[in-house]
Amino acid sequence: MNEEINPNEVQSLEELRNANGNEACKQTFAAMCSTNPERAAELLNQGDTSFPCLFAVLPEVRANALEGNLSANSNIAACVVNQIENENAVEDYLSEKSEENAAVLRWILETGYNDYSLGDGYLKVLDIVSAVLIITYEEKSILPLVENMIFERHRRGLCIHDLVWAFFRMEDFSVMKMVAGHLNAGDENEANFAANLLHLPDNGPGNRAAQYEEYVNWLEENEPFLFFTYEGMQYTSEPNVVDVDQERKYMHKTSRIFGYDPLEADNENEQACLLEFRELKNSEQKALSNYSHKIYRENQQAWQEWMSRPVSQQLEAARAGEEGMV
Amino acid sequence: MIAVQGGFDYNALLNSYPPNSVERQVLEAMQNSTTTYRFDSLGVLQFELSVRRELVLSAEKLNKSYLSFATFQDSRCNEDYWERTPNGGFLLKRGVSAADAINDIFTNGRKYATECATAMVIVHYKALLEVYKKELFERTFTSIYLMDWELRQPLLREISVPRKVSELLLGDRGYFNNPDVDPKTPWWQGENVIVLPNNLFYGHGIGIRTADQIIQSLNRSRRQGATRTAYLMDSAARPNYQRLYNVMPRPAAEPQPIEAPVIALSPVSVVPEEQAEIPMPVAAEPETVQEARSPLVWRAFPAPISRG
Repeated sequence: MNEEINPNEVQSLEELRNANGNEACKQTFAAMCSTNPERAAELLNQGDTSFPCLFAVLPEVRANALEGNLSANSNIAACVVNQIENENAVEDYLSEKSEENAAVLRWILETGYNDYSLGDGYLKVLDIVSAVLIITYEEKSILPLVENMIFERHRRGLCIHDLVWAFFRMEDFSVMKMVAGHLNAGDENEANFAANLLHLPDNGPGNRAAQYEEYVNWLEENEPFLFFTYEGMQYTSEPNVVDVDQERKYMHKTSRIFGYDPLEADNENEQACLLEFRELKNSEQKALSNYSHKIYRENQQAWQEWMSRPVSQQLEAARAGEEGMV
Repeated sequence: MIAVQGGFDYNALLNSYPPNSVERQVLEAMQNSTTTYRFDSLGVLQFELSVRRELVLSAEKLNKSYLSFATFQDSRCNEDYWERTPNGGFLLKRGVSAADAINDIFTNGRKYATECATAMVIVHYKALLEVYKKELFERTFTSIYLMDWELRQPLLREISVPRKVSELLLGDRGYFNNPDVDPKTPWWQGENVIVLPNNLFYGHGIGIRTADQIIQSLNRSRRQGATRTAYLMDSAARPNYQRLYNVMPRPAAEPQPIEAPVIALSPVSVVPEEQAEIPMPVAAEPETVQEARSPLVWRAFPAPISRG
């Protein structure tokens, strides 16, 4: 135990940990548990205690059976950690939606996202808490924290796979814009990492600003037709998390879709177009859908006339149009 | 069908392998496919068949090795051979035998724990060790990094990027996707597998199972209110067999590859993978994909879902 710290004089575990580190905090807390466990629990329940502080002393809390003395929120947080560490834990605070649980999960992330001193087990807790908040609670307010963790962990060479996977499960294209913002980073590694996440080619340091502009424009133009693919780093080293549904862009069906959903035609003409469209090569489909979107925005009557033609003629017009001949 | 530059006697090659052997089953699947599998030489085809046989055998061996399943944050390795990196990967220690280090995972599996993608990489290295043999393997792979699909190894890059295929072949790396996975267990977002004979798959953490059994297993890790089942994707990751073949010593009559095939990477490579790659002849890729002939039922990826 650190001889300079008198447990009886400690006013805040958080301040103690910030000033002296995790080990001093744990040892002082352990000493308090053996002499004055009520005081130890009282300090832990103070409003200024962060999740990293609770996590650091949790083994001592368990060893001294202090769980019953914890505040309701700290107790939930301790149970969440136990649930993540122990597959066979009985209590489940991560499945059922509850505002009380959500508040604790947010507290874990808000006070703990920027701590890198507590090891892999701690980071795993943050990964799962992030995933639960995003997928179960659709909690958008935490996205900047998760974004920060992803880029900071990448900088430190730590594991990011499950965090990246969770981030893109928000199914909100704003996450793509958040990542795109890092294309302009002064740090080349950070910019390259952002490009990888967005499935963009390495355009080199001199072209990042242009790449950012191009990507944001692409995102805005295609947003009505985009879908999340759910590809992750467990599946491929080159996940492409967002793609354009070329069929919807071609038919100008703008309903928001999460996950690829084959388009169903509304009438016979659409059905005929779709069947032919699906037989085209990928490059032809892309050309056709881009051209369709372009003329739709310029002149909806012209678009309807164009759509009424056979697909072969549509393609001809698209090719000519792209060359500025129509 | 199979097309070999200069031609080849399909029946003679087929009959050179025992009945029910992996090589024979792969040959038959290729020959009966609507996809044309093209090879620059008979040697490349025979090499691919050998590697596929060893991929199957290595997957079966790894399944019996007592290698544990763990997330990257809980991964562990035998530090006699490997350094555990901060992200949970394993980096071959300097000065140790790469062949011994790979073999150690199979003989001392209890000292190791990792997740399903890394297990697939281990299977590929072991298969190549069996085909290349120790000396060539160690000359070829002076640095090995085992961490998901972050291979840092241009020779094996293709196994990290699945492509749509018309059929799965024995030894392929496939993937079961679990779109409604429980956020409490993100590591069950899917399962990487090696395709085995008799409609079986090896997936680390699940074992050797049928497709239905793997799907059932993944479905048990779905979130509350899940509506979508796990499914086998219509994609596979295959190594560039031509490039791997070029590493092999060549009979005098056969031309050598243009570039020296031995690739050495520093343990922490600062060279981007694209730049580090040594140009090699392009491998035989399936030319056309018309229709799936596999008995498995394919589903498009990702699974359909719509929300208002």
